[in-house]
Order: sequence, then C-alpha cells, then structure tokens
Amino acid sequence: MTMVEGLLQALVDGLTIGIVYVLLAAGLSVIFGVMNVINFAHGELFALGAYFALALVGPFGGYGFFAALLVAPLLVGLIGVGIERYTVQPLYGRNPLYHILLTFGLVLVINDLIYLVWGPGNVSLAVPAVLSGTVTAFGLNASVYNLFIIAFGAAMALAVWALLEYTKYGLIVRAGSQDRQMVRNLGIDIDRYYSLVFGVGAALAAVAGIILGGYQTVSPEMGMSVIIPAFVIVVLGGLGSFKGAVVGGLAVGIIQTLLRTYAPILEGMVIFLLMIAVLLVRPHGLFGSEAPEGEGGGDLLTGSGGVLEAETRRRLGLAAVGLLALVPLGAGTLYSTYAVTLMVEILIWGLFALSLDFVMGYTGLVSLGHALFYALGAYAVAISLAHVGGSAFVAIGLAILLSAAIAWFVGYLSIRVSGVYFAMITLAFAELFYNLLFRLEITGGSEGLFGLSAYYGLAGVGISLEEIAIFVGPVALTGQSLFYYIALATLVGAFLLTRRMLESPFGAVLKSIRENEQRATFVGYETTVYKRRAFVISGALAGLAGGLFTLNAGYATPSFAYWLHSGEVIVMVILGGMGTLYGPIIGSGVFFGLEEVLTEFTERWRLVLGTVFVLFVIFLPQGLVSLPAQLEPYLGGSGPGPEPEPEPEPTPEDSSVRGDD
Amino acid sequence: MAAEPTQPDTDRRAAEEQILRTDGLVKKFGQFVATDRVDLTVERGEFRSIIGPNGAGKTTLFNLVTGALPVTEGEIYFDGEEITGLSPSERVRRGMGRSFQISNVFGGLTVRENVRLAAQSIDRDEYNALEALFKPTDRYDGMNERTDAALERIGLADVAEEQADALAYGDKRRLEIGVVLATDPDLVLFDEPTAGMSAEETQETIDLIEEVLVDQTLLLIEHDIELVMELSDRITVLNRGEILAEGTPEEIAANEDVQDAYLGGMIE
Amino acid sequence: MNGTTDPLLSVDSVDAGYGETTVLQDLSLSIDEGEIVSLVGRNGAGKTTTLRTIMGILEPTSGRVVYRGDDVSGLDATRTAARGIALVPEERRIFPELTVRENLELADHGGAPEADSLSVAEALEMFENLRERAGNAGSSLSGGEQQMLAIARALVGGADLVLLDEPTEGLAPYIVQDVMDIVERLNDRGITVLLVEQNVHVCLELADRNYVINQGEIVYEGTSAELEANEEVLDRYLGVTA
Repeated sequence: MTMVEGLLQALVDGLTIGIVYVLLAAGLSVIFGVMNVINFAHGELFALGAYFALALVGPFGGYGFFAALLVAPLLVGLIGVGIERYTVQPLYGRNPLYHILLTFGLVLVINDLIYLVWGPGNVSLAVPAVLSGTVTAFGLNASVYNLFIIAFGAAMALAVWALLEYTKYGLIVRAGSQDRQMVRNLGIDIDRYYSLVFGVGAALAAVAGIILGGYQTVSPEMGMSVIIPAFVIVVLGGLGSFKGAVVGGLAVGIIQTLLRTYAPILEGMVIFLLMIAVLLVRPHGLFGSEAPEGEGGGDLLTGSGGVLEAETRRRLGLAAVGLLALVPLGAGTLYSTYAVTLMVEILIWGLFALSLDFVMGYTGLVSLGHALFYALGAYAVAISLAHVGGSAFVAIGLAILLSAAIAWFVGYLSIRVSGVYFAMITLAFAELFYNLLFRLEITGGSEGLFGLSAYYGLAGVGISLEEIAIFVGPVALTGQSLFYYIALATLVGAFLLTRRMLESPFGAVLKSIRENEQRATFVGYETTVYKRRAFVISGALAGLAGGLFTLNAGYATPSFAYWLHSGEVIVMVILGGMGTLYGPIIGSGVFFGLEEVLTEFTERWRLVLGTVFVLFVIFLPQGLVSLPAQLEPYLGGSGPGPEPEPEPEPTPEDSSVRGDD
Repeated sequence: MAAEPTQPDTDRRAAEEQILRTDGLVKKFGQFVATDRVDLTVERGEFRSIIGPNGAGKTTLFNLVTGALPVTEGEIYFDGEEITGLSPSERVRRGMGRSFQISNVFGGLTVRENVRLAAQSIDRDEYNALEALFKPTDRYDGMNERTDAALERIGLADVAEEQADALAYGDKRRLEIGVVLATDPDLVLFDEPTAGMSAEETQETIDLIEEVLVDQTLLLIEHDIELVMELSDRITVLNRGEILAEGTPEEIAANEDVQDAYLGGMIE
Repeated sequence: MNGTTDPLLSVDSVDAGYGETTVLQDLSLSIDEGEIVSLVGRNGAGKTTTLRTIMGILEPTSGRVVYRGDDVSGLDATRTAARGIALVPEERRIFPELTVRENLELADHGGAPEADSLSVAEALEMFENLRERAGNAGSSLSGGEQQMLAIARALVGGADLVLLDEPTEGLAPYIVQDVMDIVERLNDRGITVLLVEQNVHVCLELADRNYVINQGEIVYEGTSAELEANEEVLDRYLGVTA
C-alpha cells in the first residue's frame, strides 16, 4: 500500500468514526442549545441503542439488523422522552449544574441496568451479509459496512438538518435556542417541544450506538468511552450549534484515526489540546453564537453558611470531631478494622470535596476536572517515594506544590472563559493528564505505581507508622489507625484554614464575587485574579487529598484522573451542600456510606445510588445540610426556619416569575 | 534651543485642572456608530451632566469611560494619565467611582460588609499577601475605621449589621452611594440616579449626593432635563452619539439646536 | 349594546413585583376595543412590569387581569398570546439567527381564532423595507427595521391587543415618525393598542387616552387634550415644562 492509499484508507476509517460522532454530538448539542441541559447520560443512551439492537438482531437473524436500526432508536427515543418528562422537567430554571448531578445519576442507573440485563464483556453485533465484504475502487479497499455507515449516517444527519431548517418544528426549536421566552410570548408552548428534542437526540445517539456496535463491539463501557469525546466535539463546534456538531464530529473522527496510524503517542490527547486551543481563541467554540447564555441563570442554591446557627454549628463540629477521634478505638473489637480503612477514605474524599467547594461554592467556578489535581498529588507522592526518598513530608510537600502550580497554569488559561465552557476546559485538562499517565514511563503506564512505603521524617531520619504503637487502654493504635488521625487532623486543619480565609479580606472578595461579580469589579477588584487564587488554593488542597491517599494506600493509578472521579466529587459537594465547607465532607460520608451499605445488599448498588441522586436533585437541591430545615414543618417544629420550598428566590422560571428577563 | 514658549505651560496647568478627558472617542457596534468622535473634558470639582434623548449614546459613553466596554477609537485620560486600555477595576483604584442604579449592592452581605469591601479595595496594597489571606477582616483597624466613618456619613451606622437585601428603598440608595464613597473617588459617575423616583425622593437623593459627595467631581448621566438644569455647573448634550452642545445650564436652555433635537416636538 | 360595553382589557387593583419587591401597587386601568391607550411615565415607574403582568410573564400577587370578560391573571404568556394578546417588548427580541421571513413564520400559528391575522406574505407586503430584507438574518436589521419586524410579528400572530413597549426608544426622529404611522395603521385595522412610552409627545399624538404611572401607581388618567393642558401632571411626573 502506498503512502497515499494508506492516507486515504485512514481517511475513510476516520470518516466512519466521524459520522458516529456527528450523530452523537448533534443530539447532545441541540439538547444543550434548547434546554441548557448538559446530558452526561447521552453516552448511556448510545450504549442502550446498541444493546436493544443486539436483542432484536438475535431473534430475527441477519436482516434483523435493519429492523433494529429502525426499532431500537424508536425505543431509546421513547426512553429519552420519559427521562425529559419525569426527571429533567422538574429542574428547568435551576442552574445547569443540577443537570450534571441528575444526568450523572442517570448514567449510574442506566449503566448498571445494562450490566444487570446483558452482563459484562464484549459482544459483537451481527451485521447482515449484504453489508459485509469489501469493495475495491481506485486501488482502495473499503469495507461495505464502512461505506454503509458513511452513507446512512450522512443521510441521517442530512435528515436532521432538513428537519431543523425546513419544518415548523425545526423553526421553533431553532428559535427556542435563541430566545425561549419570546417563543412563549408568541403563543407557542415551547415546553412541549423539549420532550421531543430530547427524544430525537436520544434516538440519534441510539443510531450511532448501533452502527458503531456493528463496526466494533458492544460493551457496557461503550457509553462512558464516547461521552467525553462527544462533549469535546460539542464544545469545539459551539454549544447548541448543529453545524458545529457536524464539523467537530468529522474533524475529531478523522484526526483521531490519522493519529492512530501516524502518531499513536498523541491519540486520545490531541482532541483535548484542540479543544483547549479553540476555546482560548474562540471562547464560544467554532460556530457558537456570542449571545449571552440566555436563561442559564437560576441561582446556585448555596447554603451560604446560614443553614445552622453559628454556635450550634461550632458545637456540632466539635462533637463530630470528638466522635470521629474515637473511631479507631473500636476497630477490631466493636467492628472490623475495615471500618477504619473506609473512614480514611471518607476523610480524604471529604478533603477533596472541600477543596472543590472552595472554588465552586464561593466563586461559582464549576471545575469538571478536579480529579486532575487529586491525581497530580497522588502521583507526586508516588514518584517522590519511589525516586526522591521515602519521606512522607517531602512527598506531601511536593504534592501540594505541584498541584498548586498546575492549578495556577490551568486557572490562568481557563478562568477567562465562563460557565459551561470553564467546566469543559477543566475536564479537557484532566482527560489530557489521564491519557498522559498511560503513556509516561515515570508514572508506570496503565499499571500505575505501587508497593510504595514512606517514613515520617526528613532526610532519612524518621519512622514508619507500622513501627509505632500507641496504647489507649487495651487498644493498640498503629499503622492504618495512626494514619486515620493524620487524615482527620489534615481535614480539620484544612477546614479551619479555608474558613479562616473566608473571613479575611480575600474571602470577603470571594463572597462579593459570588453575590455580584460586576459590582465587585466596579468596587475595584480584578475578579479573575481572585478567582485564580481561589483555584490555586483549591488545587493545592485537592493535591493534598490525593497525596494522602497514595501515602496511605501505597499506590497510584491512572484511574485517579478519570472523569468519573471528577463527577463523583461534584456529586459529593452538591449532595452535602455547596458553599458551606462542611456540607461536602458530609457528602463524602454519605456517598461512601451509601456505597458501603448498598454493596452489602446488592451488587447493583450503583443503580440504587444513581436513583438516590436523581431523587435527591429533584427534591432536595440545597443539599443534605438543608435537611433539618426541610423536615421542620413535618416534625411540627416551630420558629422561623428556612422555607420548606426548595427555591430560596424566584428563579426565572418558577411560579411567580414566568420566563426569563 | 530657545526658551519654551508659554503655551505648553498653560496646557499643563489646564491638564492639572482636568480630571477626565476623552479624545476623539468612537464606539461602533457593527455598522452602528454609538459614540461618534466625542471630545469631553471634565474639570476638577465641577458638577457635570450629560443629557440627551433616548438612544443618544449616553450609556455607551458612560460604559466607555468606566471601562465596561472597549473603545473602537480614541483615548481616555484620567488625572493626566491615559487609561484607555485599563480594566474597570483599575480605573476604580485610580479614583473613578461608579454608582449603579438601585439594588446593585451585595444583597447577601451585611451593610457593613458592603461598605468594607469598598474600603478594603483601596488600601489592600498596605498589607501583605499572608495577612490578606488569613487575618480576619474585623482586625484591620484602618479599614474598619474608614468603614465606620462612611457608615456614619451616609447615616446607616444603626443598621450596619443588617443584610443589604433587607434594607428599605431609600436606605439601599444610601448604601449604594456609601459603597462608592468608601472607594474614596476623585470622580464619581452616576447613571440616572433618580430613575423611577417620585419628586420627593428625587430631591432626597440629590440632597444626599450633594451632602456626601460635595468634595468630589461629579459626572451625571440623566435624561431628566429639569433635574440637570438645577444641579449642574456645566451640561453636555449628546445626540446620536455626537456632542451637540456644551455650556452652562443657561446657555444650554438658550441653545436652539438643543431645543430642536432634544426638546423637539415637546409641548410648546 | 347601549354604551356600556365591557372593556377589552381591564386590570383590576393589581399588585405585582419581583421577589420581595412590589413594583405595582393597586394598579387599575382599562382599554376598550379599538382604542389606543398610552401608559406613560419615567424610567422605572412600572410600565414594563405592567405589560409583563398583563402578558402573564409575571403573576400578580393580588388583583386580576380580565381580557374579553375572562380572568387571565393565572395564565402564562403562551396562553395569553394564544388568546390574542401580543407583546412587542422593549428590546424587540427579534430572533437574531432566523431570517426576517422565518421570524414571521414562527409567529404564524393560528393565534386568536376570531382575529383576522395577516399572512406572512401580507405582512411583507405591508412593511416595505422588511420585504427587501426577507432573507436576511434578524441580527442584520437596523433598530427601526427590528421594531417594524417586531410589530409585524404581532400582526402575523393574529393579535387583537398589541402591547407596545417603548417602540420609539433609540430610534432616529424620522424613523419615530414611521413607527407612529405603523401604529396608526394597526389601529385602522381594528387592533387595540396599549402603548408604553417615556416620550410624552408620541403618546399625545397617538393615544385616545393616557394613563400616567409613577412609582407603580396610576396617578392620572385623561385624554390627550386633557393631559396636554395639565401642566402640573406634565411637570411633576413627566419632567416636561410647558
């Protein structure tokens, strides 16, 4: 095969994958454009399409594939309509952040259902005989199936484009993505169209899933693996732009395939670099409109610390720390030593969640890539232990410095873009690092680094925790139990430190940014500088959390930087209550506690956990810290607590103020 | 080299008197020219008003001067230095205060916190980074003294611990001005400060501005011509982005161009 | 029918506002079919809030809005629009990425059943400068053209009552005249108009009756001749020296 033929071959393959991306991204983009929903579950709908097809192809044999191509997307479309109607609809008018939590929950639910019904492992989706084989033209071998994908996918994309461009339905959808309230003012019930948009988007994802399933294989992880590239494409092309989705999808498909052939080292990384570069030059993507983000509004329901009285909070805090300090004493007698291991994890993730809350809850920057800093801290410790020496102090110091430095860099580049774009750019940085971890020797590739141990001291003088035993009555505290106290002390220290910062002039500016950023500017504050500083502090704390984990567990793996981790920590923050610092710690406890309890009863714990998130975000959006106030009216409590209504202020779309401004 | 002629010297003196100057300021939105070669000079200590019919470009000019919008062409000088490319926050730090219409305070913070944020903004160079991060705000004596002084001056010392959102209408207005005052401005820009007020409230607000900001140079943007005639030392009239006339209230009242463009068609 | 026909629209003792802030206080007004009525007042007096309340974008906290004898205060904007009320908002809110024709087509969906609405073609016939730009994007229109399109959109939607929010704001004087002509042509077609203005001159020229609003309350009601003669009201609420 000549150079040119090879290149053409790669182009055809790239186009094939590109078309799949186009179908996937088109729905995602239009859903965002019209409804402002960041739909993480889109990848699962894609996978669901492939599995439905699998189920349909079985009984009908080869030609069942064509039937499946028709029926499976319809079914998935119906599921999409159901999702929109029963879970997304209650959230309209709230901050898009809640959609992240909601759709993250849906990812867990759908993904676990797939495992439940079809089991793990790769399955191949039988393609009818007509579509197998190859054709040769111009000295080029093209598989019929490739050509089929390109033709069928292009036809689908064209159909969607025609639908948007030439039908009344499309006109309303396009108008809705520009100015929802004005569409309502014209007497059009746009809300009715949302379900349809969601359904069509889901069906398109299903089509993409089926054709990719026939091309490669069908597996429960297929949704998770495409959702991030799909987001990259949507952001690249411009949120809400169909044209952007097409151009972005094809470009990413082709670039990815070419790189696989010619520069495998860059595969998986270049699309993130591309997205970062595009966003820095064009903050609204290639084809995104510069229009303001519309009614994205809806205040973040931050607790702003006023949920409990200060004195009560102080007493509760002291009591909680006191109780936590007792935990290792009962290990091995009252409960298994595993409890301590679990608690260490909760404390570390509590620190991680607290770090995220510091930027998210106080400056409104939603970092969707915070796992980057956690992983940086973890790897800094691992590498330090392996190469620099075994000192835990040096390792942790390096972890904090490194993650703070990278946070400064990431913040410097990304804080200039706002809202969803900021979330996406941080996600891109995290995915970039995740991919990098697999490729670097110093990070141990896909295996990661393991078998590490540390001593507590400096310059070779120190002691390992295993060598210490402190006797408290009959209980000997050593190893893990001692580390527990280190983790607890670090968390309490970080909490006090961040709280202190919020009372300082620096914190006052952060609060003013949360209240009214424009006014903060006109009082004389360069708000981006303050946000960046907060981001650096947050990154350093996240790095500390990751460092602690590796210090204790003795390993670090690339999965630390995976986007699911970033998602989980956001879930903990929202679960506990944003803008409170202590809420996210509670969120971490509940998250791991639930996981622990559920795994005991069922293997399908993620299904239950996901369902909890979905119900939670619909019914308790202010976080767990608001639970006492919410329950008060039912428990017959008196006194002026916060209102039972979850909405503290009339958001643009609630009952008293309909529509945006 | 002959001795310098006296001309530059008078220029320099004139420049010292000028607190704000714009040179050939142009702002275009696409094809539309919102601000058309505006040369505006405001002298230290004066009360200047900019008036003009709706759409004359008053708000755009205001946004260019405060830095909320980038200019298309031209320069802006403040206190003798060029500030054309500076950020809004930097302009505030150099002494250009901006008052907003009502309710643009930090609603979730207390009255004291609102004013203190402004007081903090101007002397933050006086303490080091560690202090700024860790020393609680109530331990900065200078800042808190100035906060208290500003609260006294605007008459909100009694409600200092209340949340700004909970203030009555008039008090919010006072707080708004207090926040500007606490940034210690040399020039204060007001954007229609009496919009939507009754005659009585308008008078109260004007009294407040005159009482509290008597030492400052004031630049007022207003479409209520009556108010402007009564208060201003000088008036600049904008029409379709251009300066149509400039002068004392008497001169403006007598100017026929102004009559045509601004009052044109109003009841004879 | 002997002189006591019900008004087309009446606003009865309405209070409305945003969150804790009450903007409108016990506001009442009524409009008969075929009238042009103005609501005039200074910036921030509550004019736009009144229109938003009539339209159903904002729900009154007390009082009611009655249209053609039905209480519509509980209806949202979609439903009031379907009954034949059209809002032409202050910012015009043309869909910037749709063409002029598409902007009109979007509005063309039936509207109020009894309305003799304009078809898209008729609207393009009526608004000459829009016809020339039918294929251009909404964002490419000048301020005056956008205003025309916003009004045309209301006509295509089959409105019986058009709520015009500051239609002359920011327009050059000769375009103001064009807009005023269009409003009169609307009225000639039997369409009732509630005109919100800061510019008293426009109100006096167009309106049959005028309401002066200040601080969320109606402080004066009268025909244009009466208002023109009332120096005190003009001076006190509208800042006009006679």
